[in-house]
Amino acid sequence: MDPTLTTLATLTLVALAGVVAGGMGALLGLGGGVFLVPFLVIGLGLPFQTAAAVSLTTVIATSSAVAATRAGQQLINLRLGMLLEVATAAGGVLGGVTAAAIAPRTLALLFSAVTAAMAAVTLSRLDRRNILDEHVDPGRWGGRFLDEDTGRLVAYRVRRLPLGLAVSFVAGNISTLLGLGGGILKVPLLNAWCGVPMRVAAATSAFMIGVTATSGAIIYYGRGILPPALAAAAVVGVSAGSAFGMTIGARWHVRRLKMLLAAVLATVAVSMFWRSW
Amino acid sequence: MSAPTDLALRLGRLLGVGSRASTVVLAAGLVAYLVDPAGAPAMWLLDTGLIVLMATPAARVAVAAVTYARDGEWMFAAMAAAVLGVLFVGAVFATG
Repeated sequence: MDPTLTTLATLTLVALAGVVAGGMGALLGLGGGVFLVPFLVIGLGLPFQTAAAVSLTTVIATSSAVAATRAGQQLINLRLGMLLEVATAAGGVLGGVTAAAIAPRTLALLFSAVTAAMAAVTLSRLDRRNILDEHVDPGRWGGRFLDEDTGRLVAYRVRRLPLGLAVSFVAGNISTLLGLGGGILKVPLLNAWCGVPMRVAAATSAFMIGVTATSGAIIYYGRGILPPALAAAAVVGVSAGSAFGMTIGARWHVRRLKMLLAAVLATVAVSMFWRSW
Repeated sequence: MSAPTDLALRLGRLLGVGSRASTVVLAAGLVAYLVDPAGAPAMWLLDTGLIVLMATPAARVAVAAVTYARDGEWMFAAMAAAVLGVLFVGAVFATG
């Protein structure tokens, strides 16, 4: 399909995809790029680079909309977000190095294996929560927030920070290449291995992915690869989706959020595996 | 020193204003596009909306950098400045 021939039907489909991405952002802290890129490439026949460019603008819109609401709920860990952003930005700059060093098929297989492992780990920890008594010292990187599941003020500590930095670096590395915000790697990692509670991991990821996506989107926009009308339709869809996700997210228990995250991870693992053959 | 939550609220407000403004301008641009895809109003509105969209997270990082520097939190100010630097290099690289 010629991306300049944008019909009302195409715009509507892209806006609907934006609704899904916005909802995922509000519930799980993901930008939805893992779904949007295959949808635009396979479903609408867009060239991969165009799809990645549209996806990145959607990630920015999701991030800003979700973080704006979450900021008032003490769920965003600013310090942790700022630190991991540096690793992600460095990874983004060096994205081209990865592209040159690793074959696309190997990258897809690796991505598939990692997301499958994270799905398994998330499922194994459905009922294990990272929350501590509010009087526990959260340390330099941890924090406190009002837990919606128990209605109590709780604390959490951040563990294995170097691992968090390493994965954020990789997330930045693949972001521009694949048109993702990297939330799909960061949220399960922060929750399963770094001691960050699910809602905080989701809110902090939503806060960070906008910057990651911006660094890639600027490049696509500057090179004239970003089709403005398609991006606009996706952004308008995101606004509706994130508002909806925010409304239902508050009522969902953490267990259900984790099950959704595991399902998303498993779907991505299978589709990436399938794509690599 | 301002509490971290104050900064979070300020950044949240900034992101909220940016995301609402870009959505409204892009929605208007879409309407103009459907009326006349190659018209000047459509192009202008869509471009402006996209630039506001991309400038919002960058502005968020800039405000964080300035706030941390003002509060003497140099490590975080340096981190935010580094991220801003990467975004700037990307912008120069893209338009150059």
